Amino acid sequence: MIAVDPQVVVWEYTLACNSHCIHCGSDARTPRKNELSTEEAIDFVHQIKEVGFKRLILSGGEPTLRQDWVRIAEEAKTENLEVGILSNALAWTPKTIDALASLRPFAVGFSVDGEPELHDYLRGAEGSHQKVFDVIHELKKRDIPVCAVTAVNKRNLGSLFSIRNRLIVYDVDAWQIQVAFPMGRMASHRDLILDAHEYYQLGEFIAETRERLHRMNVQGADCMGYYGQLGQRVRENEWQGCLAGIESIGVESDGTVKGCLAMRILSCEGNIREKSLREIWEDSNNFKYSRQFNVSSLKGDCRGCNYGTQCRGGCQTQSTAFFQEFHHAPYCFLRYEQGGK
Amino acid sequence: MPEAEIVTRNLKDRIAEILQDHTVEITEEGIVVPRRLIKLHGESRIYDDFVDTYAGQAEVFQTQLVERLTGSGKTREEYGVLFDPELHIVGVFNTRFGDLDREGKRIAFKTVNDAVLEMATPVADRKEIPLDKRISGRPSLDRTLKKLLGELHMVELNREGENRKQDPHISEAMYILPVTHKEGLILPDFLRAYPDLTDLQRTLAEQIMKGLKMDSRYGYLISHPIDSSPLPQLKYVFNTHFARYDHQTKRIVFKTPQEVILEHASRRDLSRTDLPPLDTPWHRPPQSYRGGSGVAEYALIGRRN
Repeated sequence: MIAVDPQVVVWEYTLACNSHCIHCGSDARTPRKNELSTEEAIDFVHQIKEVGFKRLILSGGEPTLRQDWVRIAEEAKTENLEVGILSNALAWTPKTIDALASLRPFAVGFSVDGEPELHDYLRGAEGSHQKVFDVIHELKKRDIPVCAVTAVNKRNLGSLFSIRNRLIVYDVDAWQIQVAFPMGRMASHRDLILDAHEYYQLGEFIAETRERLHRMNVQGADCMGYYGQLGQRVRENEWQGCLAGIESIGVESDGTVKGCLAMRILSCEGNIREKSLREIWEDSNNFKYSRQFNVSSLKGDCRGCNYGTQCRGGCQTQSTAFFQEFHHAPYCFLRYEQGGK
Repeated sequence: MPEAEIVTRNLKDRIAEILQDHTVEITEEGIVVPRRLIKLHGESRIYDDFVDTYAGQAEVFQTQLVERLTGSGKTREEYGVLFDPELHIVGVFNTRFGDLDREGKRIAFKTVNDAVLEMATPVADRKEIPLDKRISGRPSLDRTLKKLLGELHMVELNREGENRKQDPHISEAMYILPVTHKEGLILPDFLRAYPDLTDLQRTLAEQIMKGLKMDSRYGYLISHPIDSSPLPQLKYVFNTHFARYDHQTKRIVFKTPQEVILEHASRRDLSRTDLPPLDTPWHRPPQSYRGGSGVAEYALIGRRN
C-alpha cells in the first residue's frame, strides 16, 4: 500500500469551452448537465481544505466562462489554498486580469500549441494565439507567474523551436510539454499521434531545453518518460510513478472524483454529492490502481521491466487512453533505447 | 497592445543625428546656410510641378506645351526636401527640374527652355544638363510642398488623452512622409522606441540587434500650422519596423517589444543566448514531493513550497 499525501486538486470547473481544440481529451464544448452550483462549489472548497490538500487548480473546459469562478478562487485563498488557473484566455477582459492580480495565483497556465496560424487551427479559435500572448504580456507586467502548456502531435512537433523562442521572449516562467493522447476529440485524429521515434525526439528536445535554459522552468509532463538516458533529463527528479489518487485528484464539474482529471475511463471513485471528499479520499477501495499497485499488474511491454515497481507503468491516463487498461505505458524512453517501440 | 504617444517614443533626435550626414550648404540671400537634404518619392502631376517651379518665368505657350506633353495623369516623381537644422521644411523641389550643386552651394534648376525641351525629347535621347548650364533658384515652399504633403500623406491624428496646453481645436495640419534611410543601425531606434524594456527584453534585443544594419522606412510626422506663417516642422518620427499609422483609430500604433524581438530572432535559437538570471523564489527549481514532476498532463508546473 502506497502512503497517500493529499497535495493537488485539479478541478474541471465547467465543461463549457469557447475553444474547440482537436486534441481536447475532455471533448469540452457545452457544460455538463448537472454542474455544481456556486454553493456546492464553495462547500467543496472547504472539503478540499479539510482533507488537507494544499493546492487547487481551476481548469475546464474554460473555467472563466462561469461567472462565479472568482468567488470560488477567493474562497480557496481564504482557506489558505494555493490557487492556479488553466485557461485559454479567449474571454478575458481587463477585469479578469484585475481579479487575478488580487488573487495572486501561484501560476496561470495557458495552452500554446504552435505559432499563430497553427495554434489557432489546432485550438479551433481564430485569434486565440494573439489573445493568449496579449494576456501573458499583461500578466507579466503585474508579476503574475505564467505557465505555458504544449500538447505535442505530429502537426506541431516541428514548431517547438519557434514556440520556445516566443516563450523566452515573453519571459514565460514555466513550460510543460506533453503529448496528445487518443482520447476525447483526439480519438478521431489518431493519425496525429506521435510514434515512438518522434516521442523520443520530443524527449531530447525537452532535455536539451532544460539543460540550456535556466530562466524558464521546462518540464516534461508525467506522460514523458521513463528512465534510460533521457528519463531523468526531462524532469527534476527520477520518475517515481503516477501520483493520481496518491497526491492528486481530478474533479469533474458535476462532482465526480477521479485520480486524474484527464483520465476518461476506469477512474470514477465517487461523487461529492453522494459522499464527502474525505470519505472518497479515505476509502481503501478507491484509487486501487495507484494505491494498491502490485508489480503483477503491469501489462504489455511493461511486464517484466526492471523498473516496474518504481514506475508502475508510467502515466495512468496515457495507459488507459491507449490501451483501456492501467500500468501499460505506450511510450518509454528506456524501451526505445533498448530497441523496442 | 497598441499604444499611441506623440511625446514619447519619438525618434526625432535619432533622425536629427542621421540627417547630419545629409548636410549640404546652400546660399540663401547671399548667406551660406546649412541644410539637410533628403530625397523621397510621391505620385504627382508633372505639369503642376512645372508651373510651381517656373512660376513667373514660363511663357503661356510653354506651360500649354508642357500640359499637352505630360497629360493629366500622375507619375512617380522624386523630390528633394530641404530641412533647416531645427528640422523645419524650408524647401521642396522636383528633381526632374532641380538638383544640388554642391560646389555652387545652391539648388540648380534647368532653364525653362531646357526643361520644356527635355520633356519634348524621347527619354532615350535625353542628355544630362550640366550644373553650370543651370540657373539658381529657390525651391518652392508653397504649392509643391503642400501638394506633396497634402495630397498624398495628410493624416488626422487622434491626440485624445494627450496633455495639450494648446487649444484642443485643430490648429495644425499633420502629415506623414514616408522616408527610407538605408543601412542604419536598428538597435538605437528600438531602444528609443521602447523605453520601458525589461532586463530580459533589453538583453535579447542587444544580443540580436547589436551591430545589425537595416534599411528602415520612417514615418516623418510633419506639423504645419494652418493659419500662420511658421514653417512646417518635423515633430515626430517612428520606424515602420516597430510602428504604423492606423487609419481607423488615427493613432500611431506600436508593436509590442516582444513581437519586434521575435521578428528579428526568427532564425536564432534564443535558448542559446545568455539570459539574465533570476533569483526570485518562483524561479528556484521546483521541489518535488516524491520525485514526480507534475500532476498528470493538466498540472501547472512551478514553485512547490
